[in-house]
Amino acid sequence: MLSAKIAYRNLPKRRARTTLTVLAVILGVALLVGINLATASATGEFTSYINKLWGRTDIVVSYGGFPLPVFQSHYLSNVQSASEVQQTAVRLVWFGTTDNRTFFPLVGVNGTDFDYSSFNITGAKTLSLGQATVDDGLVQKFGLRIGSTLNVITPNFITRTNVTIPLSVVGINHPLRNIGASIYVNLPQLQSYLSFQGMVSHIYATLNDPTKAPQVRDEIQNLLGSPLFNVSAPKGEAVQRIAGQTAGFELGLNVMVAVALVVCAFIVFNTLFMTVNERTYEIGVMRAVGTSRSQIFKIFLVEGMLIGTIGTIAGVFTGLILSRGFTAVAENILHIPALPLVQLTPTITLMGLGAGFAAVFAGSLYPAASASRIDIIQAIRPSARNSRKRIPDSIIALVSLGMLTVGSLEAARLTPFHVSYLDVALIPMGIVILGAILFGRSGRILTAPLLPFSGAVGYIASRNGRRRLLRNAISFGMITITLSFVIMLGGIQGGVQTALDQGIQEALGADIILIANQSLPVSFTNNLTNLAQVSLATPLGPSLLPFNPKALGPNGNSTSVGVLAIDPATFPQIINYQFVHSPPQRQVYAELANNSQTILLPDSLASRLDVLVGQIVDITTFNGTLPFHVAGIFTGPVLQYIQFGNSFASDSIVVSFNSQRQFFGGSNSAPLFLINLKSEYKPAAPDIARAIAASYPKYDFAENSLTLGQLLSLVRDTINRIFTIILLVLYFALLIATLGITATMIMNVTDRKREIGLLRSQGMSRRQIAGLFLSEGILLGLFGFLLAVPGGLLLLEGATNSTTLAGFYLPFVIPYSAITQAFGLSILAVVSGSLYPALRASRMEITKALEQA
Amino acid sequence: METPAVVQVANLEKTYHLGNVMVNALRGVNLTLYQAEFVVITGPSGSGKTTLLNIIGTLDKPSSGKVSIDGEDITGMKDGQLTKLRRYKIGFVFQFHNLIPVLTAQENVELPLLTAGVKSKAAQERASLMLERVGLKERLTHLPDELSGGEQQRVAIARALANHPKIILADEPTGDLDTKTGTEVVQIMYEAAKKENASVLVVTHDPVVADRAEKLFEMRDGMITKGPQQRLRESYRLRAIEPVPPEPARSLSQPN
Repeated sequence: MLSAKIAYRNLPKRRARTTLTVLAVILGVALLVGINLATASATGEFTSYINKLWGRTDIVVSYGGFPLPVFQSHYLSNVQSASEVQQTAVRLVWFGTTDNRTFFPLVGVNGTDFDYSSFNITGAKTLSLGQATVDDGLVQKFGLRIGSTLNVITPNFITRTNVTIPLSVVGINHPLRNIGASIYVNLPQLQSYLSFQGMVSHIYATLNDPTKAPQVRDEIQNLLGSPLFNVSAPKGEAVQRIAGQTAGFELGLNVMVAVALVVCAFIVFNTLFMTVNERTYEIGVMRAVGTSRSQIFKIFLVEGMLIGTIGTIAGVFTGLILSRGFTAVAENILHIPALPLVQLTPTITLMGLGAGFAAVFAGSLYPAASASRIDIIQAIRPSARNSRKRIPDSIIALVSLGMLTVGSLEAARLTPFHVSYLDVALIPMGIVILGAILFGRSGRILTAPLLPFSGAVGYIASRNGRRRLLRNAISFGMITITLSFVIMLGGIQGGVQTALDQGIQEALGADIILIANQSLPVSFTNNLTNLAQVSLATPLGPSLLPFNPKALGPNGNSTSVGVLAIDPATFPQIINYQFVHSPPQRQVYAELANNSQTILLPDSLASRLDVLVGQIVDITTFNGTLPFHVAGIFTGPVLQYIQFGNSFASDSIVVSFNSQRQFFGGSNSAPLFLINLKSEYKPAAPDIARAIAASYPKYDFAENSLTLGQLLSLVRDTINRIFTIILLVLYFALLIATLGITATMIMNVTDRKREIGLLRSQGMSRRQIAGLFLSEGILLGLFGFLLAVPGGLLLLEGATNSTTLAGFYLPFVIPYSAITQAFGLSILAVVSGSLYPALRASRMEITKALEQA
Repeated sequence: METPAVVQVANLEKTYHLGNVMVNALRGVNLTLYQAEFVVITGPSGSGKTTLLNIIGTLDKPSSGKVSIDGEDITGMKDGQLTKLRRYKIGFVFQFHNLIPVLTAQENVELPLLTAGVKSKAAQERASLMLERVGLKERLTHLPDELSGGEQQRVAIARALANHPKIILADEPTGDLDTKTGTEVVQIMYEAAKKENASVLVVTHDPVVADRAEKLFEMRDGMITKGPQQRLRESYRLRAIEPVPPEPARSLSQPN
């Protein structure tokens, strides 16, 4: 009670610094709350999108038997016997066309299909023989309406003939799910046309508890008893996949928020520590009248927590406002569709309150403890304060060097142990503490940059900088920590760009990537190579079937795979895959050309199948399950982002066109062509792409094709947008640091009133006084920046090593532009932070200033 | 019956370092202070007066020798015990900045009472009474910077006496005041202490204060060189023999 009263009355007495400290806490907490609310909103929107896309379906069972990906429908009872399964439906998903150009899924459904019955269908829902429900997309494309008729051509793999199914449109589905261009027909009718009586391709299931989908998925896989069944939990897996892909982004944001909160803790520390110093005599008196150390500790802790309470609570609400700003930024910068209005959730509110109080508590702890430990005699006799014991600089320097060494070794992964984020914590702290020692001992050399402006100002600035070492160290420390992360982030951005550039050039490194609206004969390549500007062209043939073969590794691992056909003669001349633990490139492609039962595997797929080069993988083919020899394994960090047909490149086996024709239903045709231009024509790639598109208008090349330059700039643009958002958070942290510098400089002005009066009485002008404080600010900024450069580079080293260990090679690229940016930001922060205190000092009346005791 | 000794100092020495120089602040000081005595120590700056006062007040520790307060040897006491000793048996009046700037006069006097765990209402009543005794009945709600220097010192005296201490220690209590105000403050301190049956030990340069002492000591170079000089102040003695309410014996472990 007494502590609260003293704290409550003291805060307004130091209005400016209290306000700035509270404001810093508000911004720090608001940043945390705002970002997490915006992220939660985006994740919520994504989850609701996934739920819309998959409706109530929690589990999907398909079959990897190739070329007949169908199974007897009695397997349904196995699925139904699994725990938690609530409803089930069976479907036969095949494919059809009306014009041999546009292929679409042809889906046989029955009347009890829980998913189909939830469709947004106009017209009739029930499907009798010869009736069809058509997705809106196809209705638009073919100009259909209810009552229209159409003939769907589909291959019967049993009779090896094409059959034509005459259909009349009875319903139009307007998908709630935003995608879809399928035709739904009566299940028994489709089974009959395809000679698949009693067979289905998919089982869909809903669960009583959808959160148990991963466990039920595994249970059903066991119940079905064959590795050829693919059981998936699409909603759960989609959420998991997106969480995995955005984890780095969210981690980046939260590390930057943590930086902002550390800066807040620094400001609280500085403000309270100054207060303790100012109130030393008062503490002495209180101790003399019987106030115990713990009571003194409580008084100052309560003062800190009072700042924390106001700042944190206001910060949570400011965060709500800020989150709306963040969602607007995300919508504009990342082109995310309109997100719902953000609402404060109990979890995020608690997170904000917890983080705010933790930061303030951390900042208050040492000042409160130091207040409680003040020696009474030294408190009440200022003359005795000089004899106060200080930890020797040598010991502090040794500790900071120790922190820096351990942090740097950890960043380089040279330590025998690994503790996550140890380098992130030790490097900035170590460098700031070591910087403080250097700052205290460096003398006039520090002011060298200021001397050209005014020798006197520089002289005094350097002396004062060192006299108030702790508060100044905190000030440049805030700058150092924030800018270290700016530099690190710049380095990561550069590294990611370089890595992706390399990765894209490895995976799709052609001057022009030509994409047709249909598969073209491989011989179309000749039309391209005949062009005067083209030096080389190669076809790329992904499998366009709606189902994938299954691959079984030598140790029992199995997975569905995409099939990508290449021409082993020309492909390696354009695309330079990096092979690992494989024979020379020439030998790998020679084997692929000579032996149709040979495959190449991306390393991610090889590790999933637990297979090495030279080993055998069994694959389901049109000719039954056959052994394929692994000729080579290649790396490619970007393969997971490139999708061919149904499959990502990272999940696809690479075969020759011959092999695709023999085993995987290929027809020596390809929708993609990679073109390399003669060197003199490379700069004109966009014009040449346009010219090719114009020569073959019926293939719609112009719509989808792109040049390497366009692809790279697309990727760079996306990377830049993501990093812009993370940097925005850091700019906030820097803004908070600026508030801290303002608070420190105001304290300096208040402390040095008499000195200001004396300087003015000795003839120093108002401008020189303002210059003095601005110079001190700039000195702090420059020093903070100088420390941030090695700090940022060491953090970058740690970041590149940690991503390399995670399987993604990130090169160490010195971020010169980020360093330049950090220099500009440091000056901006200190000048704007010192401006008001400098003006305040310059406007001080000499007589009033001299009144200070 | 002999008046009991409140403070006993025997062979007290204090040595400290100023840079590389060793300073002997106290060199074998012996002193006894009896109940309800008004004792003054004078001497030039650097003679060790304040050091002696701080050691008796448990703010500082001696290098050697023995100090007993109310019969308890304080030299081996730990910080927590010393804090309680100050809380219940010692009151301080410093030269200036005696008061907590954000607390009113009444709250400043309540401070040691609340610190000692006295209930808020009882503390308020006691603080009002003490401020009334020092003539500040009308200034209870004023903050320190709304009070004159003399008034501030009177609040400090009221605060020093609030917890029924055995002894008041005053370091240059008139150092920051003009002569007239200083005289008033000394008189008030004397009267209020007598009413509470508390002893007073003042260190000062001020001859006005020295002139009012019942026992006067003089210190030089860390030693008591003169005294005790017994002085009788009739006017003060007359006030001093007014009946004083009996104070129950208190132990350090039992806060009132």
